[in-house]
Amino acid sequence: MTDRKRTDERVRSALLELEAPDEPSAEERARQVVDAAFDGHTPAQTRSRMPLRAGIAVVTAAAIAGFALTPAGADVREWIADTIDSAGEEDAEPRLTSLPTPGSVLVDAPSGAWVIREDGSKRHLGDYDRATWSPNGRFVGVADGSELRAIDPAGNFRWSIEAGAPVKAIDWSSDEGFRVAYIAGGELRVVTGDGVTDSAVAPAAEVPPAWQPESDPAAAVHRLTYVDPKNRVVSVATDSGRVLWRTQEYFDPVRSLEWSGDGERLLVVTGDSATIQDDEGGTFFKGPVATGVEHAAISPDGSEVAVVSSGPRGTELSLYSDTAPVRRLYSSGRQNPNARFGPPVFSPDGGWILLPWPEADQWLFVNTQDERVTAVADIARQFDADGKGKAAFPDVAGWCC
Amino acid sequence: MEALPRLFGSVSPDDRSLERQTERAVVKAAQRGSNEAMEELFRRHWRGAHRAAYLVVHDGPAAEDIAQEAFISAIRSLDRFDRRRPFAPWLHRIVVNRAIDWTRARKARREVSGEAIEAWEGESHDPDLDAIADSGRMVEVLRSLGPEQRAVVVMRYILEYTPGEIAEILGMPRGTVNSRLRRGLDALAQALPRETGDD
Repeated sequence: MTDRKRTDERVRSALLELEAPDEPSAEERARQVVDAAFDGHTPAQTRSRMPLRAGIAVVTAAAIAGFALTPAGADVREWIADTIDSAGEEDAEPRLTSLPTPGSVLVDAPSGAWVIREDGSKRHLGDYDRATWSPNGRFVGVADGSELRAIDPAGNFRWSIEAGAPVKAIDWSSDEGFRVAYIAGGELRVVTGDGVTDSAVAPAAEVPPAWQPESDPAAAVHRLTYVDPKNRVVSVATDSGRVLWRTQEYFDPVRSLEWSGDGERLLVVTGDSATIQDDEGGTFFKGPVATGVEHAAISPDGSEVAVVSSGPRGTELSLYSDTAPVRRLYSSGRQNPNARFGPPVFSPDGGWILLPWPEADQWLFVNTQDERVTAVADIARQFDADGKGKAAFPDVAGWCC
Repeated sequence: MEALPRLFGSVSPDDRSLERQTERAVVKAAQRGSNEAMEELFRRHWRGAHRAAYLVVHDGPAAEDIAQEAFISAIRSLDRFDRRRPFAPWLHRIVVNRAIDWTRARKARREVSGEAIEAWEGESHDPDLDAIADSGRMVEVLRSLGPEQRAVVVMRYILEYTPGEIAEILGMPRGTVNSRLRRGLDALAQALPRETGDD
C-alpha cells in the first residue's frame, strides 16, 4: 500500500470513530419527534387525480361559463339578497370570541399588529406598519418605518435590521423559515432568518414577494417570486441570483402573488383578473375576467381559488376548483350591489375563509364545504389599542398554523 | 402487566419482514402509512444523518435539529417521493444542504459580532468529543475546513458516497469534489498521531 493510500485509510478510520454528542438520547428524542410527525402525516391517497391538463380544461370551462352555472348552495344564501337592507349580516356576533378552526390570525390594524388565537384572545404586538407570519407561526416579521424586526407571537423582540428606506412588503420563506424577503427603497432584499446576513436581490415593484414552497426539500434552491419594475413576475433562486423564469409584462398592475402550499401553483392577481401559473411561469387558468376580480386567494393545497368579484347578485365570494363547478359561497345581496369585501384569507386547513367586509365593519367566516357563515361585528373597535373610539378597519395579514 | 406503548404503532403482518425488505419496498409501505416502515427508515438512516449533520456544523443541538427537520421534511414530502430513486441520498442531501446553510449563517454571525465569536468558540469546545476521537486534533482540523469541504469529506467517509455521487447530490462539478476531498484529506492527515515502528 502506498503511503498516501495508507494515510487516507487512517484518516477514514479516524473519521469513522467520531460520534455526535449523546447519540442515544438524541436518537430517542428524534424518534419521538419523527413518530409524532408521521402520525400527523396523511398517507398517499389511492384515488386517482384528474390529470393536470384535464383539470385545466374543467377550470377554464367553469370560468368561461361563469355565472351561468347554478352554484351549489346558492339557494341557501339567496335569502340574504332578499332579506337584508343594510350592509352586513344581521345576526352577527357582537365580539370575536373564537376562531372556527385551529390556527392564529395576524392582523394589520392602524393601531399596529395583533395576533388572535383560536380561543379569540388577542395580543397587541406593537405599533407596526405591517406584519407577516414565519412559516410555522413561531415568529412574526414586522415593519416599523425603515426597520424590519422579527418578534415572537408574544411580542418579544428577536432581532432587527435597518433597511435604509421604508419597508413596503415582507414575506418569510415557507420551507425552513431561514430567509426573509422584503422590499425597501424599490429593491427586493433577503435577510437570513436570524437577521445576520442582508443582501440585495433585484429592483422590484412594491408588491409583496412570495417564496415558492419547495416540493422537494432536497432541492434547497430558495426560489422567490416577485414583481419587477416592468410589471413582470419573476422567479429567482436567491442564493445564486439566477433568474429561473420571467413572464411577459402584465397589462394591469400586478396586485398580489400567492403560492399554493405544495409550491406547484402561483396565483397572480392583476387589475381585474386572477391567473394561476404553474411552477415554471406558464399560465393555465384565467379567472372570470368579464365580471371583474377584486381579490383572490389560493387554498393551502392549491386545489381551489376563492375569488371576490362583482356579479348579478351583488359582490360575491366564489370558489373555483379543478374538479367541481364554480360555487358561489356568499353574496352581499342585491341591496348591497356595490359592497366591497377585503381580500379573502383561507384557514390553514382550507376549511374556512375569512372574508373582511369593511363597510359593514364585519368579518365573515365562510365554511368552504357547507357554506355556513359566521359573522362578527364591530371589528374595528376591537383593534383600537387605546380604546379612544372607533378605529379604522384592519387588514388580515395571515391565518397561520 | 401493562404493555409498553410502541413508538411507531402496531405491527401488521406485512410489516414483519420489513428489516429484510428492499428500501424501495420500505418506502412504499411508509407512503401507505405503515408506522413500522417509517420506523425502519428511521432505524436505517437516523444515525448517518445525525453524524453527518454534526460533523458539518460541530454543534450538538443544531445537528440534532437539522437531522430531525430533515426527517420531518422527508415525511411531509413522502407522497411525492419517486420510489425509483434511493431514499438515503435524498435525505442526506437535505441534511447536508441545511447543515451548510446553518454553518454559513453562523460564520456570518461570527464575522459581525465579537460577542458572538466568544459564544461560538465556547460552544465549540466539547471535551466528550475529544475523548471519543482518536485525536482531538482530528476534530479541530475538520472544523477548520470550510462547510462545503467538510460536507464533501463527511459524505465520502461517513456516508460512503463516491465522488461522482457527491457531485450529483451537492450539484457541483466532480473535479471540485475531488479537489476538495484531496485538500481535506491532506489537512486531516496532519492530525493523525505519528506512527511508531515499521510498516
